[in-house]
Amino acid sequence: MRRPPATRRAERRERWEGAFDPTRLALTGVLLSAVLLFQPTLYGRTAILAAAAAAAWASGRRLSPLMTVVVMAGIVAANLLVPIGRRLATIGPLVVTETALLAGLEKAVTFEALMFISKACLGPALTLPGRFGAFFGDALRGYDRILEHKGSVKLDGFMRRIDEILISVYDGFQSGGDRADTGYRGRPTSLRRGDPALAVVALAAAASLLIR
Amino acid sequence: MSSTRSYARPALPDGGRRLAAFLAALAFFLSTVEYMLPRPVPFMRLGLANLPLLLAVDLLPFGSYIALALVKVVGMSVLTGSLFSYVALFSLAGTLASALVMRGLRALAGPRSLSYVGLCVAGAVSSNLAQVALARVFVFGDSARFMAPAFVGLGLASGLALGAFTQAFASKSAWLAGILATPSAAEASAGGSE
Repeated sequence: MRRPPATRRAERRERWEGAFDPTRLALTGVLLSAVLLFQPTLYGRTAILAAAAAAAWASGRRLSPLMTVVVMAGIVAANLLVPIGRRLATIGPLVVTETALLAGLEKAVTFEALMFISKACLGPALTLPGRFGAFFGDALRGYDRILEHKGSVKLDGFMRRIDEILISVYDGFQSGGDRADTGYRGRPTSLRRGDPALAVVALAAAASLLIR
Repeated sequence: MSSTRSYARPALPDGGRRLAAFLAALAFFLSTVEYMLPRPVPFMRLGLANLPLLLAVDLLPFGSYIALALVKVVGMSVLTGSLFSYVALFSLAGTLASALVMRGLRALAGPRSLSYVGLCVAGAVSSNLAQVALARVFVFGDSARFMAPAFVGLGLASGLALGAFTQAFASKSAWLAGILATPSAAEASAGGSE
């Protein structure tokens, strides 16, 4: 029997998180984002978009293809509002011009590719270094504590319930009783099975900058 | 409550660091809650996650206040997986613009003169203006000027709604009343010298 989509997505997420060290994955994401932004051709950016979308799907993140198409169409349409370059077509009051169309496509592809790279390369397991990282870790622990009460939040009496949750969680949080694992835990772990793939992706992305 | 109290931030033992972390946690939580709520119009958000930042204007010293704004942006970007995208950049610009404008306005006018509704509208509009400016550079080009009126209008509407919600929350919250009962630095030093 075919398993429900949510179950399959959770399984993909578990496999993905088991395959990669969160810090190394995030660093690869930084590199890919930089490569995308310096990518000279629309073809190159589109290829990165396709690969990043596939990776985001494999990572088990929630994706909305419809929303992706709507956002991209919106960005292209907005760029067409100011006609620049050779006239290609006229659709009602809208004049489609070549330069504006290409600029719109490039921005739309870049916008969504960055989203997919982020979704594939970032997860809640990522920890940040330094004082800011410790502060961020405190906030995430508070979030976990508050999240335990998520089920009790209803639209009816919403404000009162939020206040009750804050009262019940705040004192324990303020006294630091739940700070056992405070601090940076983002030291890279030993090699994982996904590391060779990350190295290949990083090299291929960097090499793509040389292709014209 | 805050609209009637005299204006003095509570003196927090660690410079407000723990309270700032807790408010950031509340922002993540409210963002999760808002995700579950139906939207009246697609793309229209109330921005519930900004409620902690709004409350923090009257609670935290400046350093912890800015740290809260930064952690809110970074945390929500990590949790939603958008940290490397333009969305995170827009969010950072919008949050910092609104945080600084709200803090600046509060320095000029205390809670008796300026309610959370006024603060929130000013913050929302400045946030949207900052985002429109970035959108002009990175996404929409010159066409951004066609979107700016609608975008700022949405900011005005959501700012009014969130400001009214925050005002109501602040006047009823027993949790906030407990924090505000902490003496201010001036009160604490006056008490200590007696």
